[in-house]
Amino acid sequence: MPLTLRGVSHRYSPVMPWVVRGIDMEIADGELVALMGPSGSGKTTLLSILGLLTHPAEGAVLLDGEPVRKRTAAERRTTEFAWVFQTANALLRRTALENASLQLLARGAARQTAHAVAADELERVGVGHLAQRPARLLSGGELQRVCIARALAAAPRWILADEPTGQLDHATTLEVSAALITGRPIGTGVIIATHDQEVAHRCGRVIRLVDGAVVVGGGA
Amino acid sequence: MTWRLAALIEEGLANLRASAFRSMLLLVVCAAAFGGLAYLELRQGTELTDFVRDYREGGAYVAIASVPGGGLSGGRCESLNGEPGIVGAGAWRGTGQATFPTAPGVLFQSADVTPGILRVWDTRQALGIGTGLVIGPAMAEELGLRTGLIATFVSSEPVRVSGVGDFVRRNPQAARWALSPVSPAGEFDECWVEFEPGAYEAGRETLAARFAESSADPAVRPYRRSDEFTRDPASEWASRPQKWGWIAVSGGLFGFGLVAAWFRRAEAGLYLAMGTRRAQLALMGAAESWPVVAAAWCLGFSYAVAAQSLRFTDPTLEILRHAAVTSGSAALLALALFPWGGALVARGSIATLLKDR
Repeated sequence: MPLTLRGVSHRYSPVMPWVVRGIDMEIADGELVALMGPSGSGKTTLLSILGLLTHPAEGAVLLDGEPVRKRTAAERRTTEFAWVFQTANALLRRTALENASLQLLARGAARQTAHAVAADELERVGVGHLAQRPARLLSGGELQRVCIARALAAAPRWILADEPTGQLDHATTLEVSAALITGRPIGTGVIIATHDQEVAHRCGRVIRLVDGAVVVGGGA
Repeated sequence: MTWRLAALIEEGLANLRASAFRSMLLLVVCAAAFGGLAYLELRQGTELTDFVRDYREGGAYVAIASVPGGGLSGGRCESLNGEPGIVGAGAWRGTGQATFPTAPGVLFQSADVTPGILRVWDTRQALGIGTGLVIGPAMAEELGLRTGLIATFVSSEPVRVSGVGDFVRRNPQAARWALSPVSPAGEFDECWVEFEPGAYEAGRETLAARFAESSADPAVRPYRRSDEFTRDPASEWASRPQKWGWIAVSGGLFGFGLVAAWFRRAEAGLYLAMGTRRAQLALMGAAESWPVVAAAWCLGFSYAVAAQSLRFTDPTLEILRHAAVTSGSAALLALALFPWGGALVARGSIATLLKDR
């Protein structure tokens, strides 16, 4: 399987409790996966382990069957993953277009190319007219769409979204999740941590976490 | 697949432009720090230079050789001129008192001097050495005399005044003296010798020996006596606290940079989440901070020089060089340290950085 967790457990320090425990999981290319569970169940930690932001205390993350080492994690993050965060992390003093170009630039694209692709993605998610506006002047929904455009523009293997609609109203939630799920490039998988049943229903597979352990949907 | 170098530099510059307030604040803080350091150097350097000049003009390196009752060889004294470490040497002997018909009853001291003594007593001007009379400023004022006029003594021939000396720093009592330049042959009361600063101590100690052959029991005394309260400009300059201030200044600025980077840790987390390496983050930081630090040094240094020149005196090239080296060292160290602020703050969990807003 392209993205595999094998016996993954994690805690943030030896004196703290395990946040995720003994997780075995396989995710295929292009798969739509919803991670669900109550607050504190370990969704964000699991997502950051899947996206190579956090190296698990125990177990291994495998990409195409090869374990990912700490040394190579940065390069794999650039090439395989793109992120959409709950708090719409962005460079707030830079324009929407510059934010949307960021992941492409990190992949080695020329600035002009990155801007052209990012401008198209901003149009597709409905904020093309805000391209030159500083990110700090955008509403929450607009900023989240910019972040989605940033992820889509890079056409990664997987987009990891951590409660991307958590701070949005219902109508914006539907628009943002549609932009993320139906607007994704062909072959790009989406792994989305969410509390929203409606968003989860759009995904092909739902993984439920309770107290850091997978109770439903861990296998492929 | 990773950032292109040009894109990293552009990204840093774009971040610099995007936050004008932050960049200006950094510019002002750095300029104040570099300028302050440069100003301290300029101020102390110029103050010590002025002090050294005053100290020297005040006769700090002048020694006086004399023999009780007179009888010092004028030829021997004059022969010291031109020797290594000696600025000038000359002798004088008192010839009594003189009066002038234009100021009856007022007594002036008259003296014979060898030509070299005029260089020791008046360092600011080259007094003509000829047959004419050289008089002190007080005497010139009281009698209404100036260079070129004829002075008429009550009991001797009129003499042309060849110069009015300014002896206030080296021999203030000569302000009311009438000095007649004479041949150094014969015996004189005192021999005044000015040494180069570095040759003073050794020269003073051996001065008595130079007259031992021709004069009995020559004594040598310093013109200005030094004691434990006498300033030592060389050691003051060597132990100036701001000499190592460049380390403290750049360290302080780096601390400021760390605080600024701390408030931007979510941005650093975002870059790292996209696969940017910490070294690339440092390079981006360099592109963002170097123009500001360089501009701040130029601004701060120029301001320090202008402030010193306007408020006090123009610094010498040597002092300027010291100020530039000290403040420039601070700027160079800041250039080296600043880029690592973001990378240092971004150590640890990327997920945690992303949560910090």
